[in-house]
Amino acid sequence: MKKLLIVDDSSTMRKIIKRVLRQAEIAVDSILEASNGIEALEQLVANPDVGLILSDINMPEMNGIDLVKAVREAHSTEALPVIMVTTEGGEAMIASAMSSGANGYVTKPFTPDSIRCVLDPYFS
Amino acid sequence: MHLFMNSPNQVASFAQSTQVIMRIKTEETLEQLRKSVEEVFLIMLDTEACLIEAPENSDPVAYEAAIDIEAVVEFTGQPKGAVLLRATHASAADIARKLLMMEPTDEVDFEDVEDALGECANMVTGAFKSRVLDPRGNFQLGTPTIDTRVQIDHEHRAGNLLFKHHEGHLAVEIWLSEENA
Repeated sequence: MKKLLIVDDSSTMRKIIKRVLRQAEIAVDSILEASNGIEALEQLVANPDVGLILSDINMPEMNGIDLVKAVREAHSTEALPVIMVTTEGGEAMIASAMSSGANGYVTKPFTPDSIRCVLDPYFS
Repeated sequence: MHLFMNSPNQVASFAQSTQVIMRIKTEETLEQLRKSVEEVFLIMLDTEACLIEAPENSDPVAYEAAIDIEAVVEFTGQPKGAVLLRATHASAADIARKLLMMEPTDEVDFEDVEDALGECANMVTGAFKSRVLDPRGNFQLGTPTIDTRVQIDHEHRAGNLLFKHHEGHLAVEIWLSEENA
């Protein structure tokens, strides 16, 4: 069981991800939300027990790539996994996210199965 | 038009970008846009978006007047442009209900309708970028802008498609900067 942080500037997408997590039967203690990287970092300060982050890339204020870089200054990939959930499916963007310290990558549109496949290792 | 190019790289770059523009006007590109829309609707809304032709006697002025909400996502690279989604409020509300798995009779807030159409535009543009733009170079997407009428900073409408979905219609357009047209 983990505390999970969803970072996306779309409230619709945050609701969809929460619904998909339920459909995929991913058991989490609680779900926190942030609409950009800066809010996400503030959430991490207030909630140091967050166990996993699902983050969009294209967001105002601070994007997902910069968020991952900031998270990696304080947390290893094992201590706080970050999974990117984004429309950016190009090889260059995936490579950029992974080299910045992301643990995994899911492209929108996604199915519950694709979310489950990426998250299962962190909840087993 | 006068062109000043100092190096073989600049010439190659111009030739490459010109090729991209030529390709982006092809029916194959619009076909990929159609597939992008259909993919998003099928996977995320669990409903079909069917390409239809505008009625022959459709009045462009009445059509424009019927549009209540627009969502646009810009892409930068060679070429620069945008993907624009246009809908009536009823159609956009239907998209929001389907995205959020609400009942057809459920009330949906205007903010949710705007955000849902914006996210729909984001996913369609992302799918279009993966299919058409990414294989041709380095492109970046912006964040969605949603309004009654969105300001489009690109002069050339390169293509438009009209879809019928669950309970409404959705127009999808590609715009390019004049410098690319």
